[in-house]
Amino acid sequence: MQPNTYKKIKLGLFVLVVTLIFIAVFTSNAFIAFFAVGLYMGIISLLRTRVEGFLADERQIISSEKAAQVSFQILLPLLLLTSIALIASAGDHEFFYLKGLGIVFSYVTCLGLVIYRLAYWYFDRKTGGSND
Amino acid sequence: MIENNMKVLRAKNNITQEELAQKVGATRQTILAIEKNKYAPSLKLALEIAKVFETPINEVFFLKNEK
Repeated sequence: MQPNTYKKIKLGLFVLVVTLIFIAVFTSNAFIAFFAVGLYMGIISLLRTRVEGFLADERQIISSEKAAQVSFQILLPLLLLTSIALIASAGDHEFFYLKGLGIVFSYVTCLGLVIYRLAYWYFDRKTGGSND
Repeated sequence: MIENNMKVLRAKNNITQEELAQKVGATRQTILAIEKNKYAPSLKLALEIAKVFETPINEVFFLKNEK
């Protein structure tokens, strides 16, 4: 299969999955959403093995990595600031759920930092950053 | 800053950007970006490009003001 054909099929599948997720939300049926995502992941991993040539060259991979880095750099401080604002603004009785949401956001921020550190440690060792 | 002679070498060897891209396993946009000095290729890709032109790598790629 040519990379362009793969990309077209992937786009078609994506549209189908988004439609199914909308249907799942409107009918309050989580099974449809899980089924759609599972089907998408299954078909995509099967198709990737049948692609001749390459799907992305090094420049595209680097662009993707930079985009992920920028997203991380924006998202994490935003989550942190939102969690601080939510915790600070919520009273003990009124809007107590906002405080809970702020705590959840702060945990997600911590999780993001832990994942980043672990990933950094892994790739640093992989590229010869250890003393071994 | 890394510069290159790729456009000249392509003309000498009568190779299009598309053909070069196919030979080195990259996209035409990447070859264009390298030629315009917007993207510095990895050592692997640089070696592959030099191999296509049958030229030493330092004749294809060089540091600015080192030509």
